[in-house]
Amino acid sequence: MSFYDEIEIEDMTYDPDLQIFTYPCPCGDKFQITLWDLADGEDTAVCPSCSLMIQVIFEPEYIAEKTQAIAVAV
Amino acid sequence: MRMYALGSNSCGKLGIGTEEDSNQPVLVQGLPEGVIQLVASGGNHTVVLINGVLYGCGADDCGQLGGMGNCVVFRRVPFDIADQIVYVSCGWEDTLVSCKSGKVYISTNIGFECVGKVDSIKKTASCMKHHLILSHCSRLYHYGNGKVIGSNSEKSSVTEIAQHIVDIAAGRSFYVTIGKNGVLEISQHGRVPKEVMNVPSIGDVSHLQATWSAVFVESNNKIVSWGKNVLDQLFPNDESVEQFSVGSSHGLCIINNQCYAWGWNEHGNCGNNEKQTNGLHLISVSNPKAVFAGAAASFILAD
Ligand SMILES: [Zn+2]
Repeated sequence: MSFYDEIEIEDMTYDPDLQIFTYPCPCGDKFQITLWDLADGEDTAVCPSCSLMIQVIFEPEYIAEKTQAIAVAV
Repeated sequence: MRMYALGSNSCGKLGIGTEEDSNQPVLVQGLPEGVIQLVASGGNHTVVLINGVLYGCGADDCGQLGGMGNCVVFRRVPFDIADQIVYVSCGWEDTLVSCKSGKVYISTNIGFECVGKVDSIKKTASCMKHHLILSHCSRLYHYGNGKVIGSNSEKSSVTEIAQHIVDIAAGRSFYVTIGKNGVLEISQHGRVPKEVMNVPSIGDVSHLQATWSAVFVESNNKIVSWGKNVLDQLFPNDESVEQFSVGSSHGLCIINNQCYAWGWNEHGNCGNNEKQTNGLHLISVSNPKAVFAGAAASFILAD
């Protein structure tokens, strides 16, 4: 398994409603990974329309901040 | 002049009447007769300038087609401004339209909005969320995501960033310029891939272009390319080409009146069903005159 690219989480788009991070794929669709996958230590974002994958570069604290904010809101 | 399209057809961006991918060239629908001046495309939309009028197809979810709605065939883009369009380029989800008056417009959810005015416009280049505007007075302007110019904020109006520039190209997180002195320079801010920074020693360069993470120029009648090559997107040989165009991760060229493609082919944009092409692959279209490569999508203009 090889990655198409490595992408910093700050460069991805976060959708707080769906709790999902996305980044454009060269096919036109978007690589995606959920906040909860990242919280579990998963770092591979996949594209639903092709076989390419990216490796997400992130600090666990960055994700913990977001999951804690949701826990507080609930 | 006819236009053929093949490859990834997400949201109907090929303009061939469906949303199905095609690995063979198909005549696009909805374009009037006339001289095609420019083709530009984003992630899921395509625009064509014919006789000064803008046509588009694909996704309009962000207003990138001026609010005309998603469409699988080409339709006239509502650009109701009494000014002549001279150049168009596309970010991932937007469209930058430049007019004869020097005014620059960006597509938004509520129609085209003027974001600045420069002296007369020579060319624009866009990638993802940043846009570059080059004037005939060799001044370079920027609009959009500020990371490529070392700013953390979004620029909401056109800002001058350099002078004495004669050509430009936009990559995913960088841009490239050729100065009046003939020197090619890579932008220094943001996340520029190290493979792109590594500029080979080349003589006189022309026909500057960039994919997401690679740069292409013509030098001594050959294409010289450098950058990331994970999907074989760099130009594969020493052939001299009549014209070429590079998309997100593939390229198209014309050699001896034949059209060829190279690079990533998962969506059939190189004209066959192999995932990756080995070298140049022939796309059979008779009398190709110009090529344009987009996001895994290929467009060929023919007589
Ligand atoms: Zn994809």
